[in-house]
Amino acid sequence: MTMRLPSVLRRLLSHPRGMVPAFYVPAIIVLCAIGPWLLPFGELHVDLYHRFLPPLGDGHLLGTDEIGRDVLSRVLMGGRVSLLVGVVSTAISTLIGTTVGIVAGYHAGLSRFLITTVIDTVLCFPVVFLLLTLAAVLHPGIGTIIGIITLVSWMEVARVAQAQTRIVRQQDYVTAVVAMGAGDAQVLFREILPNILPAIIVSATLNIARAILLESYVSYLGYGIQPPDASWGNLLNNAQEYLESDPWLAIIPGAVIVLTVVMFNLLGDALRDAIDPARRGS
Amino acid sequence: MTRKTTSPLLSVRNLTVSFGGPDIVDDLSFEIGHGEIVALVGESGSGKSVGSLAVMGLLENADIRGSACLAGAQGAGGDTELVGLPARQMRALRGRRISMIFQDPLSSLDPLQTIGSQIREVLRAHTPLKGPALRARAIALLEQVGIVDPEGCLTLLPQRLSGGMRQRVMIALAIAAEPDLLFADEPTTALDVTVQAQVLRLLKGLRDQTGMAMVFITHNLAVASAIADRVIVLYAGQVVEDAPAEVFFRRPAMPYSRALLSAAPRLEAVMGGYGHLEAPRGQVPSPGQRGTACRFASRCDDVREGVCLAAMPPLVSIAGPGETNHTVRCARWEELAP
Amino acid sequence: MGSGNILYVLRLGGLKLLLLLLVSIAGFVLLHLAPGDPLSQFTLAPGMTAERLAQIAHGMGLDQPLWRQYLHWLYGIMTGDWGRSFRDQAPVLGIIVSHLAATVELGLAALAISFTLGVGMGLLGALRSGRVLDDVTSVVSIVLFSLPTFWLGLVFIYVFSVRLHWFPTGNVSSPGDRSVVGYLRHLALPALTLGLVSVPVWSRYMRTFAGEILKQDQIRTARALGLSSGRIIVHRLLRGALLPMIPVAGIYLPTLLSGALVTETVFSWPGIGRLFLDSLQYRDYPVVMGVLMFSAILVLLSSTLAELVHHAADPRLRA
Repeated sequence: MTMRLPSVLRRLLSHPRGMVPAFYVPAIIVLCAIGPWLLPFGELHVDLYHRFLPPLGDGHLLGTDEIGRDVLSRVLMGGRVSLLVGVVSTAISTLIGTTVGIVAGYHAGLSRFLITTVIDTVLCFPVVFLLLTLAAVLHPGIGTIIGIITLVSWMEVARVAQAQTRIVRQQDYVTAVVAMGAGDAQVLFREILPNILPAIIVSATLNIARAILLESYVSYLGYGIQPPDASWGNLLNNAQEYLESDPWLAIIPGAVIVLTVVMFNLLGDALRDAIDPARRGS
Repeated sequence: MTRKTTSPLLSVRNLTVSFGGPDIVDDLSFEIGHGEIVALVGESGSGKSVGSLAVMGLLENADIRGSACLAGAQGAGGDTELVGLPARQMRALRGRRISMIFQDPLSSLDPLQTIGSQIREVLRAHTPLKGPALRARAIALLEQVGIVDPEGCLTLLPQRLSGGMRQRVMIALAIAAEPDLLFADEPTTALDVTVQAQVLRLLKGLRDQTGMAMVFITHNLAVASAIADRVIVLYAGQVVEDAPAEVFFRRPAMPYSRALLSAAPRLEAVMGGYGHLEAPRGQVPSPGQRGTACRFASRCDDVREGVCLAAMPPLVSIAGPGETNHTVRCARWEELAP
Repeated sequence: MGSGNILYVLRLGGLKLLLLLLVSIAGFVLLHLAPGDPLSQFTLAPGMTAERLAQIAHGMGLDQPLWRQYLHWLYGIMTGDWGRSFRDQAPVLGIIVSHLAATVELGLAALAISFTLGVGMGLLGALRSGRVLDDVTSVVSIVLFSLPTFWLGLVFIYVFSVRLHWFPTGNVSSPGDRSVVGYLRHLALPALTLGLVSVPVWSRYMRTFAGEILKQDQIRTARALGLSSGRIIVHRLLRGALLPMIPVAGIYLPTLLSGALVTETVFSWPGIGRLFLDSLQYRDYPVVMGVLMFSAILVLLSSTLAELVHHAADPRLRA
């Protein structure tokens, strides 16, 4: 499975299931990056005279929260943190996972056994329990969150990389290259890596979705990003209290999480189909 | 059992099949007599499988036109039009009056059910048999298809059997409700050569025993010569020749048939596995590019500008008086006759 | 059972035991990384002296080398002495068991919902492969997969409790109401929340497995033999696709537990998840570790059980 960028892009954009997320994902990133500068209210600007404004109320597009902060500004600022956590933890875990996966997939034997055993061990713990314990043991903060999400995410990439490496390694042309005396490094960088890259990219896209979701769980439960800093999860932290009178405080940030995670998941699926059209429908 | 019936068992008229695009099978017409074994021969893409599946009502999302008329069961009278028959009625006919076996018996059988359970499943669907009678019938069926230890076989899963045994079981399933017509789609292709011969002998024996007619779909002329009473050659979705087997193998009338026969080595050698259609040079035109002239023209050594490319030659009868029916689709058949 | 099977079970069991050992080491290390000394609960006691503290430390084995402490701890885990809660000195295992029933009830209800919907959706998608309904079920599956459990719970509370007043907002029962109907009304929303978010676990596998079977010749052959479509769907498709789903049940449990933690928090449901979060807040590490170990053992047991059941149920694996 080799990837030719123009044709992959064309196939990705040819179906609404690929096109919609392909536009949404860059859009939300740009919006969160520059949006807060364009808005009149800072995300930390407290205005006790304008608490609990409903959406569209008094110049606040999404209303205000329990201490009069602009919800739109907080959603966009929260988005910076949530997307950053998603992207950075995915980048690190993809790097680790790919390396580990290739090592385990390239040579059968002890390293493969050890790696799969470690992965299986960690997977014995329900992931949210593990995240919360680690978050509670360590100091809360964005670095911690990125670290612990990476810790539970690299294994998925490693599995994909391992399986793909094994497939490529068994191909006749790779055997031929090895037989002609190519060194391990040459085989890895010239043969294995380019061939497993598409699967890794798909896996990474899905991983971003998962990381955003995990961050929201940890922050919602109070062990992630600490107030007054915003993240998509901790915006919902107090929302249950005001559910009866001011439901939008819960509904709006949650809807943004859902939309974004759905889009990353759709993008991953669509990328998979676009890279390997034969797989479509299976 | 008597085979002297005037009206055919299955009469296919102008059958046309498409899947929303160009016609895959177009204007296909042929007849199958009671108790007759007809070989449907053609390269892949000739429409032999699609046509049969259409008659069986097993195609999904297909646009089927034309007619396929199944004569009423003996004594019951009343013909049944299969094209457009409601799904429920079609299902009642399948397995009971017309049945089908396929190339790969392993993937055709349910890997999770024992042979016995699969035979009982079919028998229950078509017969009122129950309890010990059901079991006895299952054993009798396995005996009929030449399984040595039928009782032991009942308890086995398909993957425990050899390829030949599996195809025998598959045949037992297909004839469980004593159908009048069996479609056999390349049933020996996946088998070893010696097993192939055994299965062919079994199928021929079953016909002699029960009087069941058979449409034998194959791309292997040697196999066709070993079993068929009549040979129908399909090319690019059409019948190009339809002749009694002894006539066909002695003096085929269509240049395509001759090319096929001469491309295949002598028949004895052919039984050794070399009989696959060594098609003449070139390729079968794909459904969208068949044109209005003779479809074989581009590959034919005897093509003649005016006659062959002017129009589609009709299927004409070339049998002399008193001879069995023989039709061919070639504008130059008379000049080319040996 | 053939000798191959016995070997398989032994190998499986050995691997799981090894995993459990690794899990316990991981747990022990985590416990020691945690801020807050086991002694800190005593330091503030009135009249506490350094000598007395050292005595307590000795009594708890804290003056021993770490590996001895681990062995001691491991021995306790195996013999049912899982330590005592920092909060009220109650035995950890007892606390966990007392919270188990609520989680099991919630989990079973959610399982029923997610399994039924997931299998149905996967089947529908496979039968309508490549058509609109296939796209719809797979998008629904992605949306459910992307829903934060807590948010779905909040939306349900808002819609069904606050607005429509159909169901209570949380807890297992209302004061003074011990009826079964009352209990079921309390169970409805949390079970629906947890059930819906775990639908994709089943639907995605079902879509794949059923799709694979539909591609096999056996379906066409069964139709050619005149079997009814109902019989083909139930006997061939459902049976064939559900068999490989058995091991999925083993994968499902950790997902369910994670979901239960969040669901129980939103709905004030007094199960293991709530216990875990409460203990984390009080830095009650023995209970935290207890729940982690307990769930790890549960996960290992259930996946082993699922693999054994799969081995027994699939005639192809029964040698």
